[in-house]
Amino acid sequence: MSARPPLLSSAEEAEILAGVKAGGAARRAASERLCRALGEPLLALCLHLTGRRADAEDATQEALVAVDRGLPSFRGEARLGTWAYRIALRAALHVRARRRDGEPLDPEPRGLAAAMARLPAEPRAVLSLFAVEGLSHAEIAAILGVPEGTVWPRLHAARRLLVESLGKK
Amino acid sequence: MASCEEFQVAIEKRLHGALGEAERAPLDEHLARCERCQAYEATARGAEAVMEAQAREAVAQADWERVERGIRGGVHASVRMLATQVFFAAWVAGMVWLSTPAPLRGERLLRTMPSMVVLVVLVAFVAAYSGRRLTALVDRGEMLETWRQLVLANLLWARRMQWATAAVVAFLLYKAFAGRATTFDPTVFYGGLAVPVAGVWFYLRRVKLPRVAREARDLGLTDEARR
Repeated sequence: MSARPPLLSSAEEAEILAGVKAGGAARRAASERLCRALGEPLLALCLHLTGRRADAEDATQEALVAVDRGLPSFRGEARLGTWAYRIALRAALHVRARRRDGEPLDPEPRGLAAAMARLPAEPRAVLSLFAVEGLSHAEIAAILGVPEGTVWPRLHAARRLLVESLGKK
Repeated sequence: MASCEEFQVAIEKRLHGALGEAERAPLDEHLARCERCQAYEATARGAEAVMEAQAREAVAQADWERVERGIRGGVHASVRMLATQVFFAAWVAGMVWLSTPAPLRGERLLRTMPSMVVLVVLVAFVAAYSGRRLTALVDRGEMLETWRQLVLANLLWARRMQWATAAVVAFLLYKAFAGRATTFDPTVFYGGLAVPVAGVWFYLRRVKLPRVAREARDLGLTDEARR
């Protein structure tokens, strides 16, 4: 695995935000462009966080709707992608909580998916973000809102919990 | 000399393309003789590969049409919320109509209109706030800690509201069966009002509270969720 390029460059993000400001057809085009760029990585993140494809689709949907609605009030304090990932992270945790205790994962709980499902939200979020293509550790730190230097120890701690969880049946 | 833990952090850095040139040789040297770190690297690589494969499969099989339909539906959620409010206002108006003698109906409906408008505005405000919960406060501080605080506040609110709505239902039922009124039928009016409030109580008790408790447990608020 090597260093990964960002999904949206700063120039692309600026174009999207300009489209949102312009309104009308440009706003719709900007919104569609953002959804196209973020749809797949957000779905991957939501899949790891929820453990079920249907839940991941619901969470992606909720996140994209929230992103679309929130775009006009986006203050630009973070990168657009970072902001969207944060929204998706919350949406996935929220959607996962809708699943009643004991409801099976999809497919049936097995191996890594089951071990991930047993982890608390924090280590699951760290492992999931690192498994998404296109996110650097600096972006992951920005998404989690933690200092950049603490990301690696967090990943290491999460991995150890995952190994322990893999040992449990 | 660095510990295994430090080398395992270095393994993660290498796996994600962030290991500096100077750190590579010591790591390879350590890995050549440490079985524990070799096992750690194998597990980390294996887990990442499985997760990537799962994500690829999910992306390939995703029902994007369903997602797009959901997005369009989500955009129209405010219309659905407005329809719910209109239905609730109509329900209250219906209760006023049914419980009032025919000659007084028009005048009483006009008198209750301002309170219904206030109710609709209040519900709209709560719905708008809750609709923005995913984007609200999203860029402030440590994300999961902020979310934890919000979920905890939500849990406490849902618990209080559960008892508050139960008390309101009990009061409305008491008024429905023991209340006296000369110009309207208290059984129809208070009984009719008790039905939607009981619906809210049922929703809080059976849907909202268990969901928020699950979310709290997931975020590590185990004791708070159990209380």
